[in-house]
Amino acid sequence: MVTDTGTAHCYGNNVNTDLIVFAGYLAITDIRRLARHAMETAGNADFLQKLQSPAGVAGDYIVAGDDFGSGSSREHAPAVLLENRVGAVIAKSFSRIFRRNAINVGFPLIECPEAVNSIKQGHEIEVVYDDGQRYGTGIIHNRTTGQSFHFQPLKGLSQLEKEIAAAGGGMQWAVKFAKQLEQAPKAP
Amino acid sequence: MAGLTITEKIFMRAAGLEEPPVPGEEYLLKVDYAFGNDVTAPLAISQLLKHPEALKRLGRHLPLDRTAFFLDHFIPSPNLDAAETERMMRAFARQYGIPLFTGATHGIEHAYLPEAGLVLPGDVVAGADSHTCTYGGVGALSFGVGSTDLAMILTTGMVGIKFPEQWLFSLEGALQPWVDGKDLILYTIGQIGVKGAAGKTMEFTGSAAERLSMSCRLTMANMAIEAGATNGIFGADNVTYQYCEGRAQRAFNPVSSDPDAAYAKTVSVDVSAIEPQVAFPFLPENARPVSEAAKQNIAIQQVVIGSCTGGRLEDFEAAAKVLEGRHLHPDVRGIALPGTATIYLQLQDRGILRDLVKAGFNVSTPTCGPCLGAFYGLLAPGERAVATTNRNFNARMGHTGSEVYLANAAVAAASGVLGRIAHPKEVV
Repeated sequence: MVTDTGTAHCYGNNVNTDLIVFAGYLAITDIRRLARHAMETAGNADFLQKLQSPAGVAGDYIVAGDDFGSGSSREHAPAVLLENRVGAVIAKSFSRIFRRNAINVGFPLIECPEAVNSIKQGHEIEVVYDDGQRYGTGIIHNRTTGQSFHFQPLKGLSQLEKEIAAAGGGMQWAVKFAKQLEQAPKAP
Repeated sequence: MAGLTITEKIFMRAAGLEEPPVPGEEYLLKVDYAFGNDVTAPLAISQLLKHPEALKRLGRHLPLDRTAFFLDHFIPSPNLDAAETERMMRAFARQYGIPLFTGATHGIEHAYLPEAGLVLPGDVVAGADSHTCTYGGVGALSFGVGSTDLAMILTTGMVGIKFPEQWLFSLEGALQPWVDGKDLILYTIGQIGVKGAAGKTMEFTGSAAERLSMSCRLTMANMAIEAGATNGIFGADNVTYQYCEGRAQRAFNPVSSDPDAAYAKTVSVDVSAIEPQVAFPFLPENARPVSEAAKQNIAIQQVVIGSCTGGRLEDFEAAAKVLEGRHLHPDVRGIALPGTATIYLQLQDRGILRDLVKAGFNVSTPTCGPCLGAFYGLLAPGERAVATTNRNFNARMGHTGSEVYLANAAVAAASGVLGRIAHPKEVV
């Protein structure tokens, strides 16, 4: 069982990657420097104020609507959220490339429309992952309202995605897979 | 067995399947071509450098001549961070033998790769850029991936992708004057929404699709991602073969859908009813007919003609027909971004470069810069642009609250001349 508690920062639908990391900053390749600009153009004064505070937004949650992470393929988007130690994005749905980028770099995502509809800006949230596994089942406790929401594994979580998560990231999986390819007997 | 779609056929070949793939299931496909750019490749390089077991496999499972790095998003470097990124990418590419292409010498990735015959019909193309879906225009299965995905592909030669549900868009009828591929795709996104094709293929067919030029096809496939699609695609036909003739850098296996292929959904579109479209801020799905937009007297401060979406020769030819010696409205900045070095030279040969400069345009060497608000041509608060680019998200081209209206090149040129969103027929 893994438990994390933090404040909810709420956003609407279609939070695209331009809003998560403004393109003007993408020449910065040092993720630590880039992370200071996370969600800058997406607004939410509370998130931005905490981001700039000494404690940062570590352990806090982003709560958003449909299609979080749409638009550009920039992996900087989950990378800056991970660097800021955001607990997870809890959304109604995620865009394809953002979703895979997050799994590849080990950033937690939770799909739970009921929780998104109920959680408001500033609520205190606790997330418990069953079996300590990201992307699987678990429960969200809203400590402010006392409500709880069970969440299911990410929609369409594939065998490959489970393997990537279990390997500890995309690169670990790729090295393991390449070695298997090289050991497999050649087709006649 | 029922017939197969083009996407099913490419999937089956690349995944080594005997049976058609199942929508929503993930398969590992053998990649024919993979690349990244100066935004996405640095993170892929960083992953490779952190994992020596991956780094030493470069070129082993995917030949290096099937890979590329592009310097196109922040080129020429507008600041020291970009300069440092370029230096690092050039050094890495040289050391490990990865082909390197640059904006001014070659072009913007999605404009250059088909033009240069490096991505071909029947290919599986995975690029670390969301607009990689462009190559569906030449009948390739192509889609965007992330940086770690790219590093994984360079390590294994394979990419994992969920098989998209097959959707067919059947285009019939004759195009109205001033309508091109940009309008057809904006109209379609307007009908189905920015999530409308999530997890789907958008395959285009029908007599109107068959008549579309390669330029229009590439523009339409390019924006399939703006409806959330995994890929957009046209079957290979005579237009495809003629386009590839003399360009193809290697042998290829063109495919197209069987007449009895099965689709989860078929959408019929009467293109004769479509007039030039304008997608209002802040989503590409906010498409409206230009005549309706023109009635609202929307003043603009910038026009952008170019990018991987709307920077081909045909786009500039359409703009030139509107400009014809006219000058941009005094309140309007003009930015022209030819997609490739070859297109730049074609503009010069045809006298279009002169028209653009005389009209008051900044004519740049190929770069993505203004399209994504990376550098130059940024919009101040309250400013509006009409652009032939692909996204009109909030803050896409500058300040939050500035506005981008997506349109074809003729509408952009007419709007630039009049200083407000306008139909080309108001000018010509």
